[in-house]
Amino acid sequence: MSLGARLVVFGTLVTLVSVAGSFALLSLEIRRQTRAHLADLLAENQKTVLALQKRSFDELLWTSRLMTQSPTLRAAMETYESESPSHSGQRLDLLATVQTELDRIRQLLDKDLAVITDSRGVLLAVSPASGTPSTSAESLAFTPFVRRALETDAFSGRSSFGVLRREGETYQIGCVPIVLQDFAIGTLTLGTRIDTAFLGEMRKTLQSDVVLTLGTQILGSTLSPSSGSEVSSSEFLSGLLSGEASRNLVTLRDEEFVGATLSLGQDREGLDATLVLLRPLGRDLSAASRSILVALSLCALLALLLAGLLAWRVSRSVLDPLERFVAFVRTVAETGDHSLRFQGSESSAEVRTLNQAYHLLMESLQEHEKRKLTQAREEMVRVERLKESEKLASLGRMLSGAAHEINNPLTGVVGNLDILLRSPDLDPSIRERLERMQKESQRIIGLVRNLLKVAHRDTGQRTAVDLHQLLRETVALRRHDFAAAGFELRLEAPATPLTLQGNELELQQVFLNLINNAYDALKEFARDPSVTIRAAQEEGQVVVTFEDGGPGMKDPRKVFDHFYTTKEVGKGTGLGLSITHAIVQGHGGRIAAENRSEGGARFILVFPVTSADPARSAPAISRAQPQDSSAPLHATILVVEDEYTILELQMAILASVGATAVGVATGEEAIQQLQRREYQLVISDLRLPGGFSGQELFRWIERNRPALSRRVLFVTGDSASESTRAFLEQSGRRYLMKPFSVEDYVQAIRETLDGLRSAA
Amino acid sequence: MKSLILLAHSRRIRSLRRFVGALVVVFLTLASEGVSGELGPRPAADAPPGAGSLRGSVTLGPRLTARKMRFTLYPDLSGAAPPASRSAGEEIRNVVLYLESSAIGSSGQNASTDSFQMEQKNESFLPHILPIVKGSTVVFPNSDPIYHNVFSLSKPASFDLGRYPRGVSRSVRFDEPGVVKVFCHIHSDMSAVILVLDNPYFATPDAAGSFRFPELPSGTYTITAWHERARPIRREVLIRAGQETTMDFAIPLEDAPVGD
Repeated sequence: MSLGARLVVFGTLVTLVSVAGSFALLSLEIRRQTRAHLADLLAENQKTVLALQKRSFDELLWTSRLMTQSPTLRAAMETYESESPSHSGQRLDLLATVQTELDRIRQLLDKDLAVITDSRGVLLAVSPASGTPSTSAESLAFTPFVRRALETDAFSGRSSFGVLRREGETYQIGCVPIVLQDFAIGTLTLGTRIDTAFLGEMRKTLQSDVVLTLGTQILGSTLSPSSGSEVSSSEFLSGLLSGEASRNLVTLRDEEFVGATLSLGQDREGLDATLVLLRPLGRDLSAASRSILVALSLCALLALLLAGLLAWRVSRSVLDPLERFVAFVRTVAETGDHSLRFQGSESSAEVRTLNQAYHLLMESLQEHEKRKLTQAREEMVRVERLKESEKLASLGRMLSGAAHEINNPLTGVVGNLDILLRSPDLDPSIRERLERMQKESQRIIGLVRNLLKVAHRDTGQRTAVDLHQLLRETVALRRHDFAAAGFELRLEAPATPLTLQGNELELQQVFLNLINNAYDALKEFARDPSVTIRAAQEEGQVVVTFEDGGPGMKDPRKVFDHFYTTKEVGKGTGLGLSITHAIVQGHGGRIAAENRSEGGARFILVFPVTSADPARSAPAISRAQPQDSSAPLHATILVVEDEYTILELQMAILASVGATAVGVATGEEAIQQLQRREYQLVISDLRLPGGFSGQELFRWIERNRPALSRRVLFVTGDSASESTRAFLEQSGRRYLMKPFSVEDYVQAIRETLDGLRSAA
Repeated sequence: MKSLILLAHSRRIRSLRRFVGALVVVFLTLASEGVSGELGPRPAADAPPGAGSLRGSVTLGPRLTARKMRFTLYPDLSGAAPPASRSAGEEIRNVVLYLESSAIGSSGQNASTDSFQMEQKNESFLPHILPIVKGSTVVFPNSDPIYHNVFSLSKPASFDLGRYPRGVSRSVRFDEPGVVKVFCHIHSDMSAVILVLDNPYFATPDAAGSFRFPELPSGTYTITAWHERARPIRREVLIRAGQETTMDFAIPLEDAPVGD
């Protein structure tokens, strides 16, 4: 079932319910109104009936009075009274006269009952005459209406009416006195029989059911016998009769009646006779509501139709765009294209709101995605850098080891060559070859030094870096490749050193990255196959620009984004420039990329210049002023070196300069020597086999021969290791890097001894 | 005089034409009252020596004097105004006291059997109560300008004089003692009582209610106080020669509906 259909059904149902509810309310209201109306009507009826009754009573009264004027009647009554039985026997003729007169009166007035009493209320005649003549002197003296009629002082028209039950019949009667010469000589009572016919007539006239009650007794009723019996048993009459209100509601066997009472006076025993008018509500209601029902049904039908139409219309206007929107969302889900937007400006407000919410959701989603992506990229970069630094660290360790291993034999080679070349009587051709060997050795030394430099800079430590020197070295690294490809790599930097605090390796990586990028760009397309690097110092900062004559960048703003690459898949990670960016930022600098107006790309790096610390910059032995190495050294020197070649070389050098030297291979031996005799100088390799390293030896000397501790010169093939460097810096001792030349060696010895002397 | 005032009062609404006639009526009324007033004590001329006398008074209960409703077919004849309340003085004239005794026996033969008159006037019989000695004749003259009828259903004298107009008079002789109620067949409100007595010892109280029997032979009497609406009151009384006996009566009308 579609939403629209449900909406239509729901709307129709709601309308149906509300229509039914309103109909129920309306019917209640109609019922109430009708009830009130009926009650009013009945009250009106009651009034009318009362008025009619009064009038008819009045008429009865007057006609009765007229009838009592009958002289014969009076004469008969008067004479009968004066000749009452106690005197001279009954005057039956007079009674007969009275009876005749009474019959005549009754017939003339068309009444059902006529009664005459004497002045004491004793019955004289009844018409129609009952079978037995009233010889037993029946008295009506206590009958309220007779008494009232006789009490002519208190005589009033209304109160002389009542109800008389006689021989099983009920009569509504009026009673008047028969007045003669101002004296009541008797009463005349005229009555109308209240029987079924009478009640029926009443019912027809008043259009109400009629119940005649006497006291709490039901004398007659036009109601159906069953409900009539219920009437007598129910207590409604007492309530109805005692109630002052002229209208009352009575429920008889689920049927509601509006009741009104009509007093008929009292009977012989003084019980109130009442005519109760009952009007069933249902009959009038059904008649009243039938027409309304028809009209309402039509209205309801119309309302249902309208509701259905309306619901259909609403479903059209809201649900269709909604369904389109749902379809759109489905499309987005299927295609995964989150940038799609729903075009539904002509839709209803609800759908527009929905669409706006969707927009917001999508934007926040995209924002979130972007952030996630950025985080992921940053994480990747971090991992990459970690990997790289790890790589570099292991490389450094390897290089350090390798350099050490190379340096030891190299030291032997270089030293021995030096010693050979010192010989004055060398064949010139041999000298030439030896010198060539020395030259090549120097190349090996440079190479190893460079390797060690790389190895030393693995920890991201900030040191004072000569930027110009670094640039030169970096350019030197790549110059060969450029030349091979036919490109030109120019460096325009002053020869003066420019020192800034930084990580040399990282900075070199930055420069290398930029040079490599330029190289790749030139390989792609070279308008001007050259790369120019300029370094210029200005106002506390140094600006380094890299310019190439390549094709330039597609989007200079994006080049520093992670994984942005224009290279073919597999050729570039897209990380180079972002790492570059991170490194520059790490050094407090800035990097910018732009396309040159004449073509090609330009990278501009700006670094803040910090004051250099010259004291920390040159821990190594300067080779500034070579002294006379041939001057004799008169000192006793302990040489600790596990490498035999180098120990032998040192012994040879020391012997050549006239020093007394003792060579040992381990730290333990050195301590034995030091305990055995005095030495002016200890030259020790830092790496020693066995339990005693150079450092421990130095500590021993500090403790046991404090005077000697200043005359310790270390020789090391490995300045790259962290612990070594830390130890050297902490001890403040001079050290000599392997491989060393004879001059370096001798000078270091002399400086150590001289330094002491001068200090002393 | 009260009657005069009453009639003078009612005269106002009558036509001038009837004025003279009315005056005549007044005089006649006065004359007849004067006659009836003289009727009471009528001692026989040959009264035995040593006669005593009887005097007394009669008072009427309120029920007999209270105002009543009058009902008339011809309101324009009797006046639209409601009838004034009858005074005790007027009603008391309807009381008759009469004596019965073996001493006097039914000596009606000796009594004057005069002709009495009961006039029909203003739709009334005048006088309303007429005590007579048996054997007397009552004349019923019609003084009203309308027809009247005189009839009676009473046992002592049943008669119907028929209708007759003004100026005509008919008479009836009453030989049997008893109460004779007289009516008019035309005017049902008219009624009168002729009390036919055995002897001439009867009296009507004066307006103050006093009555007197001046010369009575000594002996035992039964005195009856009679009113048409009340039960007759009978008492024994001893009359001694040369003595005056006093006897007072209070006549109530017993509560009619409650009575036996």
